[in-house]
Amino acid sequence: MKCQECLTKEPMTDQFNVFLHPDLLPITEGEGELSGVEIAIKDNILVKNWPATASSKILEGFISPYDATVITKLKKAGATLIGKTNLDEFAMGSSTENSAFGPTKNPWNPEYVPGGSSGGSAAAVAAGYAAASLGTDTGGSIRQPASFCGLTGLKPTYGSVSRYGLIALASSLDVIGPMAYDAETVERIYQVIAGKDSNDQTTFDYTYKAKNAKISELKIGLPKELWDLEIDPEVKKATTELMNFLKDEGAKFVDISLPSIEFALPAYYIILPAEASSNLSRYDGIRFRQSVKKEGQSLIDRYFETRALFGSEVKRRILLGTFVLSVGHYDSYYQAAMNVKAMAEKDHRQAFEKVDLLLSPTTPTLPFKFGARKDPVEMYKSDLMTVAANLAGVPGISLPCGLSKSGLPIGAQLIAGHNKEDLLLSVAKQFQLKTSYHKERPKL
Amino acid sequence: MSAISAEEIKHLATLARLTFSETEEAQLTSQLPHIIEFVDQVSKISKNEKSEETLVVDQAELRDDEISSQNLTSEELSNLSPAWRESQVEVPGVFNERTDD
Repeated sequence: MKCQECLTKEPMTDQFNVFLHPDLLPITEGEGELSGVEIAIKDNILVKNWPATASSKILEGFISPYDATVITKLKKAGATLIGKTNLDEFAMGSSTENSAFGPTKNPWNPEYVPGGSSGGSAAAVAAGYAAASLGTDTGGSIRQPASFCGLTGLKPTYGSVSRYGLIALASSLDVIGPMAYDAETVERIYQVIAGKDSNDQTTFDYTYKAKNAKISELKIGLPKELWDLEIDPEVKKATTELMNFLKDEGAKFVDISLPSIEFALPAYYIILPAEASSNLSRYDGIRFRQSVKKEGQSLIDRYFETRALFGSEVKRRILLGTFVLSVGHYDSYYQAAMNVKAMAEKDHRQAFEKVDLLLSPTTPTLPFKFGARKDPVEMYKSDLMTVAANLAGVPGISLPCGLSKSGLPIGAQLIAGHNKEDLLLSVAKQFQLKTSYHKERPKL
Repeated sequence: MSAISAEEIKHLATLARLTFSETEEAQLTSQLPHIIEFVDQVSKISKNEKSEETLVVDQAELRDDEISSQNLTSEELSNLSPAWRESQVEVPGVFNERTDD
């Protein structure tokens, strides 16, 4: 499982701006089930004595004083941590264009974005710099870049992986998960990082065990609200590759409706900014190092000066969060969004009483060029297919299922009920045994 | 469209302790109403849909005792703050010094 490309690329040339802090030396501590697996870590996850910036100037110079729980587990399992990867600032974005340290390029075509916010983690694997990577998924930030970079990316059940040591974006939605070309590697990493953690009270007792699902016994739902969206014909065609495989194996397909999906994206863009505006209030220039003591400067002036270091998208979302939580708007926006979240949970629970899996494209479009989505709302629509799973807290996976005529990767998404990662990964492994989409590589 | 004026944006910015360049301010003034109009779609949800369920996992919220299992040293903590004096984080005064008029 060792990443052969990594061994032959010394010194590593990072032509896609994948890594932040390029001087870091790889860490290997323990020995175990992940010995020899080289893993890149998204720069919003803390690794002791390594910098952690979340791609923000406001955290420049901050050195993590402890390991995130997922890092402790990876180290114990013998994984080699090879570096920290670029992301949209504080994981706010869908293209990695919002990084304060410049965008990451898609190894499949450097004129195109790698997706986001875990774009650096996806590009690291796609370019062969790492065998696997850790990303985080708040509204699609593992699945969308996995789709854009031709990878398998797992967004686990909320609470199945500890968030201790993760720089918070929206705490009720954030989850850490693995990305790799193949589902088997994703499964090996997920098995290690999943489980209860006394440092994160949203985690629950859970031990992952692989299963061998009988596809012929599965019933698969096609969510009307997702398939009715405007979907690029090439994306639709590639997704049918996965559908055809499942049909050939004997799975039954039914149309299904989850009405909350229609409201999931606007609700998400209320809940996320609301939580982010609270989580990011801690960056005050006193904690986390960033600010210079100036004689005669008041505390409030120091706050303003420090927080001017936030990028435009972060400021926009903090402002939106402040708006939706303010007196007079709380019920119209935040409470309504929380109602949608409750509806999404209920809709998914009822759906999984009728079907085993939901299937859709991971994104409605192919990867897009840098600068192509200047309107924030158009950029937010990158999450249309993925965000409902975050509101419902259920797991999802993106699988490579083809290339466009222009040679860009396309992903298909499967969603399952709570703690059904075993089903998702079993189906993914069986699909990849019979197909070779996950074996495609960019020409570097 | 949900109206939000430039004045309201400035007030929100003050509440959030944010400052904006002229370019950012111009962008926000044009973009924020559009974003608010987009998220306003949630208002189409009938009040009858209101649910008490807000947990995303099917279990009761648990509250365990928080037992300290690791501690950072003073040196490690001092490395995380911009100024440190006599084992304490040094911060600017919260109130301006009183001056005699």
